[in-house]
Amino acid sequence: MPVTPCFDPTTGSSGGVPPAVSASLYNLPMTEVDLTDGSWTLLDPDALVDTVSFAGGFNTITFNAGGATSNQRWTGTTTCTAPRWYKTLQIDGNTVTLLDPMWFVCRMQNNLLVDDFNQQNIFGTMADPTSTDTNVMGLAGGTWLRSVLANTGYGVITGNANTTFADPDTVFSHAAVMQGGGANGAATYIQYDGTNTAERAGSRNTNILAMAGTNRHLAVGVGINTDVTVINAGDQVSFSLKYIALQFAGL
Amino acid sequence: MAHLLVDQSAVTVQNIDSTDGTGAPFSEEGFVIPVVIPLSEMGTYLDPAFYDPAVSASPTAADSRKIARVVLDALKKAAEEP
Repeated sequence: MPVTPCFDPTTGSSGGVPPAVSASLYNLPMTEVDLTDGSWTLLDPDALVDTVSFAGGFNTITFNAGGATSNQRWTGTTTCTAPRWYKTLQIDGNTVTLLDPMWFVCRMQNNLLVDDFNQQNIFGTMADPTSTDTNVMGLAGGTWLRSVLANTGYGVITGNANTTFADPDTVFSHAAVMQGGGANGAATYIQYDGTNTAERAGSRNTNILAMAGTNRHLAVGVGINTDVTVINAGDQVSFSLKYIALQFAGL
Repeated sequence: MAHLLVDQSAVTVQNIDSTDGTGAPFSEEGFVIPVVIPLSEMGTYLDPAFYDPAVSASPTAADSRKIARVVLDALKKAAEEP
């Protein structure tokens, strides 16, 4: 015959020890990215960024003249001087290290009304966002790219390579990366139409293990998507970003 | 010849911005076909008697055809799926 606890030995209340209750993981709110809120540091070796503004959920970047160099791309090169905003990843005031098991999840939406040059942008985590060596950065996350007058391609970027798809009906996309133990796991994405119906999905292995460094950082980066793309002074990109980072105990 | 496998359920159409085996960057939209080469078969594939990059006629036509057919069959199957 099973023994049924009658009292909680700590509180004396009837019914035995109550089960542990954690915060609900249902309907978790995502954090909106506002690059003007003072929490982000800009690294811009080529002085490409002129101004940044935030309105209606969209960050708008206005550029100085530049481009026409592979260094201002996020893919196809190991030297990347493209501008990026970064900060140490913290959850409830706790700094997340590269060793912590976690998930990074983000939502990306390109502003289709702004279409000045062939762009590629990123939102993810990095081991070292101050480096211009893609092998040191340890980038993994979401990406979106658009050539002028073309559909926006959404997907994921790992290291200096990406997997995307440009679907004409896609309005926004979300991406996720599993991380921990000093590594980036695979990155995956789903893109959606205006009714939240999936239009396309994909994934990419990172092959990024044993990253150097201590803490994990959030990073938002902008750049060009071909080696010959020219940015004229006053050109803009505009996008809305949200994210959530989950860190686990007890693995 | 050693056997080669394709993970057919993982074949997708994507745009890839990456670098090829020579380190050259490329950007291409196409079928991404995962090819599985069993580790137990690596010795066969890496044996110069099977494949010597310095010899233009290597691997043999028969072996080349077997390898090509694995990839092409996967492409054909993926392309014909609704």
